[in-house]
Amino acid sequence: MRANPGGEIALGEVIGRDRLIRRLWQTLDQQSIVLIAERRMGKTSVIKKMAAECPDDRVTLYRDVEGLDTPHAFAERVYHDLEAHLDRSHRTAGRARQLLQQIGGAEIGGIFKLPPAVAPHWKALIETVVEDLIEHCGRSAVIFWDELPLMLQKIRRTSGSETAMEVLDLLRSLRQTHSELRMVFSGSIGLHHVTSSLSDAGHTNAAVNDMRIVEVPPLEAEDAEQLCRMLFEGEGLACDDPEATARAVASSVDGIPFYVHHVVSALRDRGDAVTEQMARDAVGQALVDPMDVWHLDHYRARLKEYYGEVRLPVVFSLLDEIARTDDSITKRDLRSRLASTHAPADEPSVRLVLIDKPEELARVLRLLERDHYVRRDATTGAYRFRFGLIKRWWRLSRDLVA
Amino acid sequence: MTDVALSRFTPSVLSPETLEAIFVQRERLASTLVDRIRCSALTPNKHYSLIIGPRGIGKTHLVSLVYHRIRDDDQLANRLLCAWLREEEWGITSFLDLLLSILRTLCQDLGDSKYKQEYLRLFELEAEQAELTAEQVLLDMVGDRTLLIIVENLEDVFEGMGEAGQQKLRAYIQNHPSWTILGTSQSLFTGVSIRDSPFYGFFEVTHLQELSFKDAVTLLIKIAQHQGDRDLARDLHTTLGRSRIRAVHHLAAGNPRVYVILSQFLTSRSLDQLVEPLMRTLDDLTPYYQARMTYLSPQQRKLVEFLCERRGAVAVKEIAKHNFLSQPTASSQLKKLRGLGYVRPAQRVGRESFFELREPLMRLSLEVKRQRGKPIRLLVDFLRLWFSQEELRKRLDDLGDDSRLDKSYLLRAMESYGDGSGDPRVKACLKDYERLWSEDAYEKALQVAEELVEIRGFTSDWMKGSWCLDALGKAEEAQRCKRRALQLSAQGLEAQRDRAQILNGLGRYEELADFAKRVLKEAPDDSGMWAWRATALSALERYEEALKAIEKSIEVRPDGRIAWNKRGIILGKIGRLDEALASYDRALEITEDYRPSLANRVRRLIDLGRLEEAHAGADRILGFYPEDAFAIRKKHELLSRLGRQDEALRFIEALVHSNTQNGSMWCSLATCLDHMGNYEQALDAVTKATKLEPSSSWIWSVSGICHYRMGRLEDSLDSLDQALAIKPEDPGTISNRAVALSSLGRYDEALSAFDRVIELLEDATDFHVESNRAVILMLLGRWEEGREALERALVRFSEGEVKEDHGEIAIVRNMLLRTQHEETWRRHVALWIDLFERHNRLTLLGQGLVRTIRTLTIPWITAELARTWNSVWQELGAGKPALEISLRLFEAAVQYRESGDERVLLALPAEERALLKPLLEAGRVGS
Repeated sequence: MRANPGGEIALGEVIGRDRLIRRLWQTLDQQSIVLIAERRMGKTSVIKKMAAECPDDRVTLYRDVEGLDTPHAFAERVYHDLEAHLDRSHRTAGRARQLLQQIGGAEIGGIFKLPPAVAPHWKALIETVVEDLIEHCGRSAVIFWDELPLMLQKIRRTSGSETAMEVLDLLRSLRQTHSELRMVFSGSIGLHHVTSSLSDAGHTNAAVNDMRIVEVPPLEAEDAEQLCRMLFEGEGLACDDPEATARAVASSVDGIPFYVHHVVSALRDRGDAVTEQMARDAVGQALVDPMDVWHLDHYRARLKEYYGEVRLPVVFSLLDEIARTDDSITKRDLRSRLASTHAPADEPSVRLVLIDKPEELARVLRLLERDHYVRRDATTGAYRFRFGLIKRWWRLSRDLVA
Repeated sequence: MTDVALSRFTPSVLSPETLEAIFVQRERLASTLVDRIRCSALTPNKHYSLIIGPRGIGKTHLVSLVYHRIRDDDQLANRLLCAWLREEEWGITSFLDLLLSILRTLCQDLGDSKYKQEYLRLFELEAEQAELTAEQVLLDMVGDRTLLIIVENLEDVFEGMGEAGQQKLRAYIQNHPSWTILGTSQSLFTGVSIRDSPFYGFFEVTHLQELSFKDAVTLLIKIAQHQGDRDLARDLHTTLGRSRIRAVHHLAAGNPRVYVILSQFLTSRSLDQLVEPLMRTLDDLTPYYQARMTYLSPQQRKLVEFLCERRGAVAVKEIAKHNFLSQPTASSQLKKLRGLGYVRPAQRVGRESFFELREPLMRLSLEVKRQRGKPIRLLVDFLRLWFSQEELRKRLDDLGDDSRLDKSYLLRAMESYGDGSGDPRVKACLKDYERLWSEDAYEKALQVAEELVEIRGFTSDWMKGSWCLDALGKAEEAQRCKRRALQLSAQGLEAQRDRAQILNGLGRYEELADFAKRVLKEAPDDSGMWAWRATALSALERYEEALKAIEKSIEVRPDGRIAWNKRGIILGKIGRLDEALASYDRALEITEDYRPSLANRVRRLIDLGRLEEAHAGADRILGFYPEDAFAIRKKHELLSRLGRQDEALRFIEALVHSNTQNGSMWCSLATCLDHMGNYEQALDAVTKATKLEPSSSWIWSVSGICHYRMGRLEDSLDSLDQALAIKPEDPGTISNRAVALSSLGRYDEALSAFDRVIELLEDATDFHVESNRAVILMLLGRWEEGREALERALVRFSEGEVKEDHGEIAIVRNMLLRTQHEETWRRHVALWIDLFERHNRLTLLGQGLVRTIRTLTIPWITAELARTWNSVWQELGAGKPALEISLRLFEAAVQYRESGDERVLLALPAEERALLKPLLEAGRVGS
């Protein structure tokens, strides 16, 4: 097994996800799933593995839909993907194909296209092809749509918020109509960013509240260590104490497999016998690398887009304060730190959360939680960085290190 | 010499053999890339690699080489399809365009008419339909194989496709994971680095490193070898060659293209002067750099031109102001230019960031027309001299060891040929002698040699005595021993091999080569004599013949470690470093702790720039010989060069702490600290050493130097006296004593000491001694005599009898200590400028001035003295172009020492600042 940060991982080499996958199948017995996680956590590997190794009593379909930007392109894709699961007789006799012929869809080289004039029939096409599938395939079906939030964002851009909402509503109605149908949505941007922008535009439908939100966490320590050892072996790295070194790598990168691959790749490039210290140094180097090889700067850069210019100073201050604490910090302490480090009169965003709209602080913190920056302690409610690695980077990049 | 043309701008058109032949530094990366592609083709894992580096850094060379290696891999023939999208894929503006481009490339490569038809039919469809169909055609074409896409300038392709196209591409790859990608880009671009972009974190990114100095030398040697220019390949490997390349490297900032162009103008002859080939390189580079400017936006171009104009590093605030930009806009553009490899940040001063051009050669090249080349010629000449002196110093250090090795080699040779005596006294003496020699205990070794002469009186015993006398600085007595040995040999009292040994010891190489030839005519299977012939030919620089001779020796006796070692040395001299290494390895297979080969191996690894391995090599020596001075020095030096300064110091300190009672260790620490410019600590260390080992002349000699560096002249003199009490005829120590005496105003004694050095050196000329002696004469009021002596020294120097002055022109530095009288300074400096100018050595004099910067750290050299010294030079040197750079550097140093303001240094062009910084940093540590 070779280090392959960012690349396609052979499904047999996806390590440490078996428990999660078992849990996901159990959940799918009951309901559909919105799979969330920080980018590069390995969501796609998980769902591809599920799609490829599904139980015999189910039929699965995996499709990355980020390239689609209209509802009818989505409908065409759904039609082709689902029809492929029907045998020839059911295909030709299927209601979806009949519908397509009625509305004048053309088949060129085996690919059906909806003519622009009948594009509004996209809903009907999806509904009927799903019905065909449920009726004829004889098993319950699980459809994995990867990057669905990105597609919705594009549909909102090309066809308006209402259409994007209609797509979500249609999918919800299909889930409610067909008890044998399950869906798994996942994506590199949080679905909450899309749904909240739709609700900002006045759509209040709770389009995914029937779905269970499941987070893909980092690997358990022992799994991350195992991955690391396997990579050492695959890369032929000499290592005096592979156990301790793997432990050092796994803990330094919070068990995030993407970074485990990166660290091993960096160690391989050095070409020396690997030690525990070298592993720690490799992580340290990556955190201060002027070329930002791990692209960590985007934990800072994206804040402006996510939280807007106005809230930005307060978001930075909050993250600074949380990064400064060794353990965790309560909302009350955060508020008092903000008050002691900023004059509300000088800084509108601070004035907003401290004086004008005190509930805004909780909102900002909640969003930071959703965007995987921070998490709350279940007992004390205090905040800490979600990942120690990001905390360390934040401290370094913001010169908070004593 | 064969005429093999190298394309400077389009490496992709070069043959695989040429690409491999001139490939340097990136072998590990190339292997990794090939491995990743193999892994992608043969397993379900798919790798996506992105190589980042500015124009000219060698991306296309690397990619072309990987492509050919993949194509030559039979195992991949049926598992991989390869589409190489060439450097300028201007036409890609959508995902469909990318698919079409891939299909077109594949159709051309495969020549399959069915797919060609399908490809052509795509143009009859609507774009949307064509895209879906093209996706399908590509899937069919690839089948169960893996598709390797090589995309150069990936950032342009991504920009052309836009976000929508990138998303489609990513979805396609996710839905059909049969792709592996090898992309290149000038810099990181938003399509891969922004968290919300589809390809965020998707690629394994490698930033190509600039060529190090060693890489540059290796590249030029490889090009010369590839082009069959053996003379150049050999000369590039010499001290002179390395120093010349160091000068170019100082300007080229590791841009490989510069070296490829330079190689076309470089010949064995032009290497010496360097200015002409480099000027022609600059001429050739100008269109390249001009073209690079055209890739920039008008605003970016303006900033680059502004930085060219200003020469030094400029604060962002100032850049913004002079270009009528807001500071954030200027910062953002500079960040982009940095990513593209045009500029780099200089250090920060307070909250201010400074930027400058990344490659000094770019600025010089763009300036070349405007300035009609003169200042650039002066700069190149300055660097040529500066680095030849630097190299000389390093090399001298090594040569000391080489000559030791030669002697050790002789010793071994003598042993291996045997002297036939079964006398146990002889055996015991020989054993003792070898041990004492290796411990540098020459006095005691001499006693043993004398004992051997008494017991049996072989020529080899006389020779042993002569080596010890040489080492003790008793040259006259040594010569007497050698002559006696020769007489014995001529009388036929010893075997022919002994005669060969003696001729070698006397340096009569022509004679030795002829003698060996004569002997070999009669006895062609005498492996030892073949080795002697090789030794003689090598000393005569007839390396190809030497190589043949040593190979003949090995042919006769394949398990001779000495011959394998010698072969390595000869191969090293002609630049065939890899083969040299293999030779040493062979010697070490025969005897694993054979020290000469262990040490030579380290040297060649350093020459090859394989510093980590060289470091391991030094450790290997220390494993066998824990106190080996060469290995200790090299390990320290290598750690420093690997950027592990702290470790370097820790190593030497640890060594000292584990051998706290070993004076030599403390002295080694002192010399390391001295090289780092940490004079005060060096003095502490050597003082401890003198206490522990008061009988070592070496330690006292180092102590003398350390005291002198700190301006403690009386103490310096005391130490040197101690050294001379132990080893009275050492010319180096006497010369240092003369300098110390002159700095104490004891000019008469200094003059006598220099006269004694000249006597000891017999015919050898030494500019350092002659010039210092001349200055002393002038200080004694014998102005005309001194002036003539200095002129004579300069004439000999200029006529090439003496190549350089080990880089010091120490009369300048010493003058600052000899007197602090402004008028005396004026008189001498004016004379020096006049004489050095007349003999075309003004640049060298200027460098002598620059090297006084370290002397300014002496506590009693006050700021006022430094200012006066500077003003004397500025006034008398004004209007002398050859002194311009030196005067500028010195003035900056004086100002910086006084104010501590980094801006003073930042105002200098990067290439000048880089020369100054080590001198100032050392000064800061010591002050």
